Order: sequence, then C-alpha cells, then structure tokens
Amino acid sequence: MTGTKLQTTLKSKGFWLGNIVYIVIVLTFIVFAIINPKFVSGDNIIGFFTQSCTTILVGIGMAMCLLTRGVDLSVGSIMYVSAVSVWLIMRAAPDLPIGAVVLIGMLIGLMIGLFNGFVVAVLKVYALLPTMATMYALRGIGLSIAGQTVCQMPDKWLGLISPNVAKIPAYVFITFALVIIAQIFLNRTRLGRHIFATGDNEKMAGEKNISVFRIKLFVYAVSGVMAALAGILSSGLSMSASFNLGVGFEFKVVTAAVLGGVSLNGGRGTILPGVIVGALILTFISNALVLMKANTYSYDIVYALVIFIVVLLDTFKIRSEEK
Amino acid sequence: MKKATKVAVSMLCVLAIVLLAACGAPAAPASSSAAAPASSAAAPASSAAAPAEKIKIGVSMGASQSTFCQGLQDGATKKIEALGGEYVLSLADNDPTRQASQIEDMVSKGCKAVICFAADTDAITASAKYCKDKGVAFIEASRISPDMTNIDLALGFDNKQQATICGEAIVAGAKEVGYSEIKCIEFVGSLTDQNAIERQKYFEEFAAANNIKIVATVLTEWDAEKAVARYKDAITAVNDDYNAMYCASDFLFTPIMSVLTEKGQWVKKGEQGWKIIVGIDGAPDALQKIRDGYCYMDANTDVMQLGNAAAEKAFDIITNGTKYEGDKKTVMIDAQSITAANASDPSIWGNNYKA
Repeated sequence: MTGTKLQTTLKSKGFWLGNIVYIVIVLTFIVFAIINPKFVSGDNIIGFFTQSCTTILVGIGMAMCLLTRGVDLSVGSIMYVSAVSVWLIMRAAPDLPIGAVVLIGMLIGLMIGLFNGFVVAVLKVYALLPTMATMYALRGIGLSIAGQTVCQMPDKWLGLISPNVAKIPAYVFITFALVIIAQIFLNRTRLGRHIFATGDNEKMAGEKNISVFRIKLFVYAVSGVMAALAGILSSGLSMSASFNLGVGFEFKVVTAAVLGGVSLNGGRGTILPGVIVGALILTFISNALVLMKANTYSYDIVYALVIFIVVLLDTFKIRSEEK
Repeated sequence: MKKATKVAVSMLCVLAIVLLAACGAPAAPASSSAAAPASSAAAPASSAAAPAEKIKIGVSMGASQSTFCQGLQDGATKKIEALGGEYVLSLADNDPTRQASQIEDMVSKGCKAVICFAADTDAITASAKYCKDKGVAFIEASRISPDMTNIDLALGFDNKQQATICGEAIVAGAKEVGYSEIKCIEFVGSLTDQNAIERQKYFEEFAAANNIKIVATVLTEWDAEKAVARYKDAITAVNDDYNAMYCASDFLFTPIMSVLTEKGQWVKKGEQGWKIIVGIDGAPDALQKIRDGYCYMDANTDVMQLGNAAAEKAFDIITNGTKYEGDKKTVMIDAQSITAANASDPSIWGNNYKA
C-alpha cells in the first residue's frame, strides 16, 4: 500500500468503523501490556494460541454450519465421545500408533457429523433441535462406553501434545494450517461459495442448482470431524476424558464465532481472521484475569461485560455500514 | 401431507435418539462403573424382585466428575443393599435445577430418605425443605450447606483438618528437600461448592501463619481443561517461580502432570526442579503418582466410609425415628495423610479402584 493510499485509508471513517472491534481489542491489549508487561511475554503469547486451539478447531466446523444458517449443538458431546473412544481403543489395543488412534477418533466424529447432516438436510428440520438431541444422546453413549466417570489417558498419549517447534507445540501449527485450508476452501472453491450462497438464501441457491443437501451434509461432517479432533486434543492436554469434557463448549464456540463476525443469519463471516479473533478474545479475557490476580468471583462478570461490549460495537458497525 | 409426514418422521428420529441414549445406560452400578446417562431424569432402582416393604432410599449425586464421587455413590448404594433396602440413584451433571427435580421424583417414588451430594450447597436447601414438608429424611453427604435448618443430618470431612494436613505436608516436604522459601500455587475448586470454599479459606489461613507464600490462585471450576489453561497462565504470572502446589482435589494431579510434562518439569522427588504437590481425596490415580514419587501427599477422605455411614444413618432415622439436633447434626469423618510410605495400604478407599 503506498503512503498516499495508506493516509487515505486511515482518514476514512469506513476503515475505523469497519475494524472497530479489532481496534478496541488491540487497544485493550496495549493497556493490559502496560499494566502487566508479562502479558506480552513470549510464553504468554504462545499461551494465547495453545489455549485457543480447541475453540478454534471446533470453531472451524461451527462457522461453516453458521454460514448455512444452521448450528451444531452436539460439538461438546462429540468431543467427549471421541475422547472416550480413543481412551477405549488405547486400552483395547495399547500398541496401536497414536496417529492411527487419532484417525479412528476423527472417523467417529465424521460419522456423527454425517448423521447430523443427514437429519438436517433430508428432514429439513432446523438444526437446533436434532443437534440438541444428538448432544444429549452422545453424552449418554459416552458415559456408557466409559463405564466410569474419569478416563485417565495412558502415558503414551502425552506424545500427542509434546512435539514442538521452536517452543511452540506442534498442535498449534496444525490448528492454524487447518484454519488456512478452511478459509482458502471457503473463498476459492465452488463448494465454499455454495456454502455462503446456501446461508444467504437457501431457496434461491436451490433454484440455481446448488445441491443444498450436499452442502449441509458436508458442513456437519466437517463440524463432527473438527469437534472430534478438539476432543482428542483436549484429552491430551488434560490427560483425561472426564465426565464434563465439552459440557457447554458449544456455547463458547458459538460465542467465539459470533464475536469474530460470523453471522447467526448465515451467509456472512470468516474463519480467518473471524473465528481466530473470537477464540483469542475469550482466551485473552481468561488470561488477563489470572495475570491480574483478579478476584475469582469476578470472572463471569468480566466475561459477560466484554462479550456485551464487543457485540455492541459490532452491531454499531453493521448499522453504520447499512446507512 | 408431505410436510406433516416430514415433521412426524423427524420427531420419530429425535425420539429414537433419546431412547437409544436411555437404553445405553446401565441399570444399576456394579463395582466401580458409573451411572445413568446425562439425559435421564433418574436411573432405575437396584435389586430385582424387591418386596414392597423394602425401605427405599434416594441417592442423589449432584456431580460425578471424579472417582471420589464414584466412591461415595458406591459406598452408599452398597450399604443400602446390604442393609436390605432399595435405592433410587440419580445423577445431576452439576445442574442444581435438575437435581431438585430428581429429588422430587425420588419422593414421589416413595423414598423415605434422600442421601444427597449437592451440585450447589445453597440451592439444595430448597430440596431439603421440600423433603421435610413431605416427611422424607434429608441427609447431606460430603458437601454440607451453611444453612442446616431443614437438613436432618450432614456427614462430611473436616475441611479445616484436610487443609491443615496439606499445609503441614508442604512445610515438611520443603524441609525434606531443603527449600528455604515456599512459593505455592493454590488450585481452588468451584465457587458453588462449600467444600471448595472452605478448603481454600483454611489453607490460606494456614499458609499465612506458616510462611507459605501463595503466589497464584487458579480457579478450576472442577474442570480439567480450565485447570490446564489457567495453570499455564498462572505459571506465566509468577515467572515460573514456585515450588509447591496445593490442590483442593487430587483429580487435578493429572492436568498438572500434563502441563509440567509439556514443559519438561514433571520430575520425581529429589530431582532438579521437583515441586511439592499435595491434594485432597485419595483417588487411585493420585495414589499412583505418590507411589511413583511425583506427588508428595494426599489427604485421604474415605468416601466409601462416608457413603456407608450416610446409608446407616438413613436407616436409623427411618426405622428408629432418631433425631439429630444442634452440633450432633453434623458428623465429621477424619482425614488421614497418605505419603509414599503408606500409599499402597489396601484399606485406603482409592486402592479399591483402578488407576
């Protein structure tokens, strides 16, 4: 960008309004960094990304569902079932390589996602109800598989999270690679454009010979696979698949996606930077509260306040754009 | 017609999914296996062919996120069966509203007493009042409400004693390995759990009186994933400068192991950088970590004994009409210290479960 063009952009009201959420976040980040310099330490910055990975992974799939004007409330339960399944597989076949176990776990997520997609696409039911039913059913199935409340992962499962490149865990790179692939897919492929078109106006998309059935099957399948991967990662991070793994996670992910600009009305939003920004906002709040040694009773209040402010700013931005 | 058919088919599919989940639940817990699925309101009662005159007792588990909860549940249900009674078990998934509804169901099923492990020790008082109004005995197990007005009996562990045992262990551990200054990260539980609140309060009192510097507090909400994330933040906050950890529950030993392993700091006692890790409960995986030398001490809370005692007292109240008043309303069971020296003792409840 040339100097003149940059000046013009910075003077433009549209630039500031269009990026107001990001600007406020950057300003808040700077303020926290001044209050507590540890906030911008290398380890802490790496921590933002490592702690956001599970939210980002599930966010990839959830964003695609939201883009089609759907939602997948079963992601938290898919995380749990996949974590419990890999635990069971490792008990039954302890010599199986980690990669194979992960692939089987993802396959389980894929099957569940296809089931969700089939119900939503074929029966043309709004996704909230069937995915909520799947959410409850999978939690029960997971408990039945587990047979006990906490599944401790074997020591070899640490191999999932321990590889790192320049002190950054390998799973962070994998997560961001998946984000880039997903965003390129949405922007540059025909199927990606059809996803947006379906969310924008499903009826018109159907009239233009876009297979809405295939689109919906696809996005819920992706959601299932990503949730399974996140569950497997979570089980590695905590070395267990506890009863409450993934409980309420669907709301956290929807929040992250919406904070990042993905519209609940479909047809609008990005994974990069959208979902990443949303996930980082949530991690950022949690991190700042611990670093500032805030009173633990204030956590929920602060979360609510920040989310409210970001949504307010985003609404203000959208209304300005409409004018 | 076509639309109506689609709606009908979709409703049938949803119903099928729910039924599938319900059918997947075991009928009653055996040894260490758990529970009813999250979607069900209550699990079916135990023992086949129960005669009509068997005393029915409800066991309401507000949470079941650890082997601790499993031990408590097993202790109560097995004792009820051993005494010739019948139990109705429910799991509330940390949902106070669901627990309240399940307790009402138990009363309508004819339970003469309810043994309750509360999801929320404040919210549960409403259920205690409901039971009292219906003439059903209400016994709290482990998590004790501050308001005991409508509660017939509460059995628990002395949180002050547990916190003190942990504090003493940290001091002893520091002396043993030669740490002149103790910098401790404190892991607290859930803000709705009276046990967690007291364990934090009493540990902080002990720490203040015994030169243990609490450098960071990690709110875990009894969630392993949150514990991992916030622990990492705490490590950054203290510049990795700490040498002890106090865990309000030893289920946190595993997430701690995960974080320290990632940092290459999961080492045994005597090795460079070893941290004094203490906790409360006596769960099997924690005992293993103590035996292996990674963790230092666990304050044993014999949950099976607690569950047994709760069942016995329930029978006593029902059959003998025993009333507990004043100080006698709260019964505390002593904790004991578990170190590498006695971690293999078979009498420790955690050694009855698989790690």
